[in-house]
Amino acid sequence: MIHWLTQPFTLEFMQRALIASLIVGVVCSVLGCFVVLRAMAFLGDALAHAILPGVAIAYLLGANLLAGALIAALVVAVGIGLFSRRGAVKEDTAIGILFAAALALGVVLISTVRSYAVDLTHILFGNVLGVSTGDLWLTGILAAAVLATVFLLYKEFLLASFDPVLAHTLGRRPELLRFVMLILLALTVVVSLQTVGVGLVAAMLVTPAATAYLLTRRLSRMMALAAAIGAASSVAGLYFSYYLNVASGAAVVLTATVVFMVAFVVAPQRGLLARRAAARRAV
Amino acid sequence: MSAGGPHQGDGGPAGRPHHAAACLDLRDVTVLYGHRLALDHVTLAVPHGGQVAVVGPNGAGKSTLFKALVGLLPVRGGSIELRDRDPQARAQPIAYVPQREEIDWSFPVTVQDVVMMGRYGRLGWLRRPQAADREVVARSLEELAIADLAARPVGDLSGGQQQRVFLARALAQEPHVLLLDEPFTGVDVGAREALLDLLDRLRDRGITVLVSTHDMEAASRRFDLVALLNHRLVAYGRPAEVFTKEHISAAFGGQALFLEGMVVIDQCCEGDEPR
Repeated sequence: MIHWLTQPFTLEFMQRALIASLIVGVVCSVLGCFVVLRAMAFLGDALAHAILPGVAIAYLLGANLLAGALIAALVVAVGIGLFSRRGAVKEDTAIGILFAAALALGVVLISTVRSYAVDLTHILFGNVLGVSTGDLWLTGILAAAVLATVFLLYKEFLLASFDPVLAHTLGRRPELLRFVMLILLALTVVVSLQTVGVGLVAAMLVTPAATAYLLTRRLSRMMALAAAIGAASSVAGLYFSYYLNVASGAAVVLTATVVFMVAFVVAPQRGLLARRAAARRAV
Repeated sequence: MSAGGPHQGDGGPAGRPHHAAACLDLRDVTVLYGHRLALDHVTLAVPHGGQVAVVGPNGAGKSTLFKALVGLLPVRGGSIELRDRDPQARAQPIAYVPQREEIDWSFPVTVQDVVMMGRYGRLGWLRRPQAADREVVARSLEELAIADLAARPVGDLSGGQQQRVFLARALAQEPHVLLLDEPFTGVDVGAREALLDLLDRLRDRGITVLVSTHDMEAASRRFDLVALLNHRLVAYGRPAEVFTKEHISAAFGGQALFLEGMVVIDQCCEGDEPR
């Protein structure tokens, strides 16, 4: 059993994959709590797809993919922020148009290269086994920046998410905080690019946080629990990927989804069984 | 005016005699809602420690008035002036308690967390709550008799309890002016009486209060001043001067029925029932 657990990580690329997965599991889940509570899931998904052209251009130029993604993500976050302020169409429509177009542009750019199918798959669904030491450093630094910002602005984000009206009357600039949140979301998407890819990052943002939401009734605890669930799902998913020889990013996401389903049924107050029981008692 | 109570904050104007200058001075305040006039040249002066009931039909601009006062809606014309009794007092002048419907009650926060938010304005960015803030929060919870609920998630509370949480949060802001939007709507009689008692205690502390309400009975029985609003200010003054047949007809139009010395306002379809 011990051997079964340690064997994958005797390989160096698996060690790097483990560290990358843990970082992504934690940072996505913590920020994901705000994504869930502020109903920004669609926005996160859109942001993830919209960075594809940046990745493609970096790829064509032979530059660092993460650097390309980072620049694209920041441009898109600023764009969405400005767009959603005073749009001619509803915000979700604007986002839908923007992200489908960006995805198409990315695919067009990548398709100019011959090894198109393989590269696109890696970008869309991640390739955690190919993480280099340099990637790991960049991932770690970006993740630390995101977590530090969430920690420092915890009180502000809590207030702006729960009661934007009070935030406004206390001079807390909820639009500015929303903008900062978009930037953090963009950084998180970039951090997740290699582990789960742009196609599945929304799941990592939403699923562990939603699971934690079912299990606790206080934001600070929700964040801690989400981080633990995200990290555990990442490690478990990596084992499944190794022993069943399946795609790692998808394995991580499916593991997190199973945890969510269990919580959905058995959570103490918000779970299906508890709500059924409460309804029966009320009758 | 009596001496400041325990909620009189740092540099509070304990026992200072009250000057004739108004606390809140609105001159020709005009607010647009889309292209319509939501508030039409409203001029109104509220003395320090005064308690004003803002009465009017649905959509008369009561909430708009409050939102304009706290800067949530832009004022297109006129001026709003707020005078602290003590110019040295740290700026935290207005606390606003919105209607209950405007909040997501499933949010994972406890009663204590929500009341602490009232301190955030004084705390500034990045700073964590201090012992003094926790003390103010504890006092505010006591004041509203919800100290025993401090650790409970807000989603578990009844409508009346949720309202008390928001009142406690407003007190934790240590405001000079308190704006309560429809606090009597959707709460039971007990919560209503508790709120009226709280208003009496605030009066003793010299906090200026504006309350929007449909409840003309409470307005005339418990408030010093009534502002009858229907986009423009129909009448303003002591309840007996304001609640005349003429003024009420002007504000409520066909909704007002006059029966034997009694007014009935036909306000069907109000959405008063709790969610």
